[in-house]
Amino acid sequence: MMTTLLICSLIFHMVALTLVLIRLGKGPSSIDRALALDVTAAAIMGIVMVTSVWFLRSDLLPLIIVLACTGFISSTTIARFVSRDTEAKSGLLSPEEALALDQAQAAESASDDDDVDDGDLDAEETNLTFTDTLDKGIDAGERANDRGEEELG
Amino acid sequence: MNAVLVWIGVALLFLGSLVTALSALGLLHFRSVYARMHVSAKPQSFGILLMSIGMACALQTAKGIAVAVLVVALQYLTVPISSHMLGRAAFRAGMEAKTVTDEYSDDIRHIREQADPSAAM
Repeated sequence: MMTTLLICSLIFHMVALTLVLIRLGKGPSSIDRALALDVTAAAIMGIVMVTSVWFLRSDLLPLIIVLACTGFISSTTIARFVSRDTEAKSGLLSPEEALALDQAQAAESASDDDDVDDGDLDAEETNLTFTDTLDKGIDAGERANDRGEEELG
Repeated sequence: MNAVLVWIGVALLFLGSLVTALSALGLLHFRSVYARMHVSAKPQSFGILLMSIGMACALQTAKGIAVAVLVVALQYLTVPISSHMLGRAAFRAGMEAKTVTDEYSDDIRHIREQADPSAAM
């Protein structure tokens, strides 16, 4: 009976991993794929826990700690670079143009830092002019959203 | 080994895996990024919490309990970070949040008016 429950747990994890794999393939944005990776890490941790209880293998426990430590890195990395990625892919700017624009904006924002109160919203990205980036991002993202909804039907 | 505790532990492991499976179903079903984000945080926090308690109850060793506490602590430290980063990236990439209140857009408008009063609407 106890073994049945443990087998059911493993089957649930297997179903979860299958569904997550479908989401990982479908997208439609890289953020959805990052979410799928997060759930995958959680499911793998669960599988290791069930296995260690079933076969009483406490030598598997460090594996869970390692997964808990490193599971968030992938999605954080994707989140860090996704906005620039969508901007480059939107066809608005080539990478060189985007770099030149960034530098121009950095110089501009450095020169009028005194009279512009940025607040603490974008304190970590003072070398980007926040609102311009967001405007372009919103245009590109709306097109991406339209495309995605058409694909999903 | 306390048999009742082992049963409770196995039941908790079962419940945790059920949470994981249901949230994977939700990840496939929901249509907006933010709804998917909401449902994908559940197995990482709640599911891992249930399964860690279950593992500690079932193993009943000092090592098992220490690992369970450490794993729950690590998950509850890192999951909010990655969720926050993903939500922020989604909003700034232009994914529309169809919410009742939208304070972030209000803040952006406020900054824009302060930066360029002539363009204020």
